[in-house]
Amino acid sequence: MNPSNNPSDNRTLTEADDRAIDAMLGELIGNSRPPTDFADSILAQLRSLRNEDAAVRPASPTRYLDETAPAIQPLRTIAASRKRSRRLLFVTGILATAATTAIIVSRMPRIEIQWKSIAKNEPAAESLDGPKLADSPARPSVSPMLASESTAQAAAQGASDARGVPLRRRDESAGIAETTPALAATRTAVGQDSPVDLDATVANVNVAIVEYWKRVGVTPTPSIPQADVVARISERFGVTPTIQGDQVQFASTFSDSDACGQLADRLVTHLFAGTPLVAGARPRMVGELTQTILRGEGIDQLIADWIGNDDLLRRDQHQQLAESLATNLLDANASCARCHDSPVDSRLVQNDYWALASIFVRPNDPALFYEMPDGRQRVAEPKVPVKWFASSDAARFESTADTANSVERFADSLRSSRTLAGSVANQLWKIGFGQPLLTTSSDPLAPPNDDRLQAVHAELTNLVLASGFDVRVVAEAIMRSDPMKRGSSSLVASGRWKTASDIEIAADALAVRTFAAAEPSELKMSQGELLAMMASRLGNTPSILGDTESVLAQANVDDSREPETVTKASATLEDYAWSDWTADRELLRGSWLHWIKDTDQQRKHVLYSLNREPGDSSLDWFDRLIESSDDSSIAKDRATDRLYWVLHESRR
Amino acid sequence: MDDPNIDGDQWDAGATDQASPDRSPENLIKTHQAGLWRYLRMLGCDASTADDLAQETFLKVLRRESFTQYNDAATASYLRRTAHNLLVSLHRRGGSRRTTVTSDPLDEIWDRWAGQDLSGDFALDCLRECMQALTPRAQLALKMRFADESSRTDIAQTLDITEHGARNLMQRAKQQLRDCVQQRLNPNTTENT
Repeated sequence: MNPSNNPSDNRTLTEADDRAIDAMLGELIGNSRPPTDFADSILAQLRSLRNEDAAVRPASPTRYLDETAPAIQPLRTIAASRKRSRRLLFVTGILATAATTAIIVSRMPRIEIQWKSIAKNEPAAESLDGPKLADSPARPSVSPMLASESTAQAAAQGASDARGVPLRRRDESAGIAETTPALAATRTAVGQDSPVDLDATVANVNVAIVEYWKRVGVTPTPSIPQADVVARISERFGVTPTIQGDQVQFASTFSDSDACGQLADRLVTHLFAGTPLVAGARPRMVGELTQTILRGEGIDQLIADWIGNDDLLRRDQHQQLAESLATNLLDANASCARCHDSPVDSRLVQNDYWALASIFVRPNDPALFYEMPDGRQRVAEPKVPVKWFASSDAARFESTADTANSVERFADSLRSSRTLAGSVANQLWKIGFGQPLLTTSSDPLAPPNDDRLQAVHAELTNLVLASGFDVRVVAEAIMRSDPMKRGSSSLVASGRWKTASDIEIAADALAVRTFAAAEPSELKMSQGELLAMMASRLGNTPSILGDTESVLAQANVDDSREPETVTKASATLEDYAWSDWTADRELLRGSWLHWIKDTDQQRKHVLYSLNREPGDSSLDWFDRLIESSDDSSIAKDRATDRLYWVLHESRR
Repeated sequence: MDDPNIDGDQWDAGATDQASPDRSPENLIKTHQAGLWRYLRMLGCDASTADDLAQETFLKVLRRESFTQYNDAATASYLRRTAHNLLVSLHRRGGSRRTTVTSDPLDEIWDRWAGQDLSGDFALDCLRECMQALTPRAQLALKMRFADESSRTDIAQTLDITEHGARNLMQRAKQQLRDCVQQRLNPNTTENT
């Protein structure tokens, strides 16, 4: 781009120029200044890193820190030698891991053997004396934990799992009231081998989330009273803790089958959203999950059983099964990969999508064909996509000759997997806050990602694994987390939203998106209302709503020309939503949607990515909006952004 | 996705500067930190992200045993490329912050705004002078926006205009500043009309 030759030529600033000049003005006039001197801190970190490297391999003089270093070798030689040493290190690491795994497996405690015994309907062992183990690659230590004397006695009499919860045989039909030790027992467990430290997890989560808020620049809202927290938990999770003194207590929260049923219902909704189920399957799944939650058993086993059950999943709906299960159980939103390799996530390739779909094809059904982007057709070969699993889970695929071409193999890969643990944590968080903790990179309106947010997710994932997929434990951690106590923003609480500036509304929206403030339900608008809001500012009225009078109607789609007729006294919910939109639209401008040049394809992708039907008649206004726009690609891109935003906001 | 690894053999060595002064890492950092930080800010990073990424860039580069300082300009370009890739990686990890990575060629934005100046100090000086050419109202609006972090509403009230008018005023002022700064950085282009 050539600089302007005429000072009076007021060509519109490009986004890049706008950012650049904002940065310079921020330094010249504002408060941001370049760092005074990084040198000391960087050199200190460098020395520290060098020392760590030296602990692994012999220290080699560097060019900069040791002036007696030899002359520089040719760059290609250096690169090649570094590649060789990295390869050697990799192989050594693999061998060491294999040796460690062999040692651990050979010394597996009786608790693991008891799980296997139960699976085979064999009598369980009577005692739990077992050695302390290092963490295995698959799951952390499951050394026996005696929570209290009573639990210790129960453990001495019969088999118990790592939490001190007596195990149940799978063929038992005893009532669920047999033994349901309260969660308080797990928290007060003594012994340094306790696999579940709920208090520590909650503390770590809270530290990480507060740091996250600092990094993204949001101020969390004040905490709400305990009674309101309890009411919120009850509404969102379906279970109701109690208040004792000034503390919320969870000890008896999951002892009620009705409450557990409510949570189970929500979990089935989230874990199997969009999954085609056989008629009548859902109530059965909710019932089984309720029992599992009450008993404190791991839901990974139950989910794996469901996957392999033809009475529950409609195996004739291959694509829907693959997409929904990948999205909900593997946190891999593979909808892009149906038609082509995902442009935003290199893991999600078309071949893997259809490979996963193909494993649901029954033996006597015809093979599954799919069309590649270039029009060629290919037969889908059934296979579980290893790349969609966490790297720590990938080892389980390498250990078997059969690299997964069956539903049973897929189900088995979920058991005790870190991938499923992460998804369970994410879905439980979504139950609590209306949006998942981590979303796929294809959602431009996701919360700003940060390693602190990932740390929160990792803590909860570790808790899922450590608790053996006990939903009660993880749900309680989320209920006790800091974001659960945050109230609505002051703008909403005080009613000041009607006179707030765009910047304040944008700050509010960011706080909600980052879990630092509760979503203001009183300001929520339906899809129809949001469409009307968009249309009223663009001169087009959606046909479904009829004519709408608005002083804000304008004949163009240039939303840089904001309406001038709005005064503070007349500000409405529409104005608030408009400000919310203007805060979000910047996030959409650089999104993958604009990599698609064809407007019709953009619309299809918007609908598909948000799980909407292409023939949704209420969206006809979008077509009319495109028709009324000028031919500029900018106008059409903005129309797509509006559509995406309306659909995204109205599904929360 | 991992950070693109820049092999030392991907960039051509410029003329070896035999008269180069101190090539210690300390001097490298001191020479280039301001320019690198400003480059990251121009890509849209906020100050703290720019701090983090700048430090990460230096660490990454200094840990590469194959890295060689040929001359300051080449080193600066290499640092900018590394920083750009780190920013891309940050976004690819799922970041959806307000920063967006420019689609411009890597160095074009820096060349346009800082020219050959390693640190960007000259561009800032030009901007300071160009500010004086703005109208008092425009200067006040920008001062309120950047120094006081005032809202558009407050700016509009102070200047007795609408919010829309305040926005337009600041946009026009920035356009004028852009043109003025680029004229000063690239004076030869004014002769080619």
